[in-house]
Amino acid sequence: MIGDFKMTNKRIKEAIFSSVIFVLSALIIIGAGFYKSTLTKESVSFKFNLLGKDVNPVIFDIAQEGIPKKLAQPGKVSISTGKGAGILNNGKEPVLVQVKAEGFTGDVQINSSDSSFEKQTGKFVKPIKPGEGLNLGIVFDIPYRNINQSLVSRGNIEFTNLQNGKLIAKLPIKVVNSSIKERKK
Amino acid sequence: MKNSNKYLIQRAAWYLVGLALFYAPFALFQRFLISIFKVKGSTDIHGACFRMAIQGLFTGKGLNIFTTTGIIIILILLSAVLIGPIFCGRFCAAGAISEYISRVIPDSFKINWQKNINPTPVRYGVLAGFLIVPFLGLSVVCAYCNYTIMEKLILGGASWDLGVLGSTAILTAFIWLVVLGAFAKGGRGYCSYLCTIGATQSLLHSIGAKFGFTYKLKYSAEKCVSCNLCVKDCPMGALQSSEDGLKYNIHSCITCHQCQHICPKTAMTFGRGKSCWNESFKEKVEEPQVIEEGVSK
Repeated sequence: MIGDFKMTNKRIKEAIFSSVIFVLSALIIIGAGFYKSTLTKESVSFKFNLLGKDVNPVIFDIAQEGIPKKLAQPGKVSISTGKGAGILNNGKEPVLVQVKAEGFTGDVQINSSDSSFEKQTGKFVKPIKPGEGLNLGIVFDIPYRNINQSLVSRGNIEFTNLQNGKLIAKLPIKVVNSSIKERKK
Repeated sequence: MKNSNKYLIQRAAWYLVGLALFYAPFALFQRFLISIFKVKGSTDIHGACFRMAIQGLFTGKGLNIFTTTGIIIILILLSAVLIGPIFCGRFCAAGAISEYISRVIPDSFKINWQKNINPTPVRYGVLAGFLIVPFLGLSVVCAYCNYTIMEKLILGGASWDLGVLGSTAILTAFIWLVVLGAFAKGGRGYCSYLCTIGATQSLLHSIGAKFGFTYKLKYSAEKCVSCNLCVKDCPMGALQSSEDGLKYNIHSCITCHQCQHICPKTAMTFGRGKSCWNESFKEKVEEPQVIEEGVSK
């Protein structure tokens, strides 16, 4: 009978311990969700009208990266139009567009999930109709030696009308490291 | 070659099949569903996104079954009830890669997490947290997903270009492949503790195994010689030796059958009927004299 009591007591202790572990695990996952919410600035998105007058510059701050990213790939930066079409043809005519990166430090890759996009040339081989848009993802691979500067990289993404060769729009992008300024202060 | 090593190679072939079925650039199963049944879905791992489907199922958002994701999740859940977590044990390349990396690392460099921390309350706690998080306006569905990283490894591994990884992805990769992978006994620490797909399947398997018509791991205590080879070889730590005998944790088992193939006495089998795990222990406790007579002979 004493043996039965000891077994029951042991089982109760195990059940309590397991319950505590269960709750702790759930709380850790909730904490992980909160941690993720602090890292929203690790990827920057933008939207604009292709034939708009002023295009707001896009700024990516390396100091906003989380610690794992700062350790593993601080110079690998992604800027995109996010879900859906981020660059809208707000004109009245279809436009045949080529996209180029100018002036940046390090490698720049421009991608699009649009099947008409040619990665090697940066051309959309099908015209963008009025009211339709295109999506873009831009990946910067900045050398590590450039990371520890207040202005890490700067340039423009240029959109050219292939039908007449004219520049339609420029998207200025700056990659900065705000932690460098703070240290100098 | 030992039977267990032959079976390791056989299992590796199945995991390669799983890789081709679900991951880009192949995603053969998604392509099959899209072309034959005309359902919607993407031809990469997101077209079989189990995490989003499970979260939707449990949080009231629902599951659109007329998508590649919907069909795949239904098949996985049904199979978990009827034959165990067959996806984990046969097709999950993400779990397999960490297990097979671990098998190359000497045991002295590995931690036996499952022996020291019971995975069951942890994995169900993780599942509970995963389901609660959306109600707090947060998301962990994609942030800590090892499947996405697995696909990046497949697509970019040859050129060592994994693309842009966020902090949570880097953290996940480190935990999955290193801390709970290469340097963990069994190599499947991520599966044991953090995988919500596995937890859901195990929960369903533990319920399904109570029925006689479902498939489960069965144990013949009279054949067992307590050599503990199954304990050493189980990648999930579902088998543990104790002073009371061999203990089996169905909530950790992925029904990979590795124990069945390493057992020299065929004490482990996989089939329908009673599992005989608890019954076998009771028989041993109630009939100690029979065992002593066997030993003296």
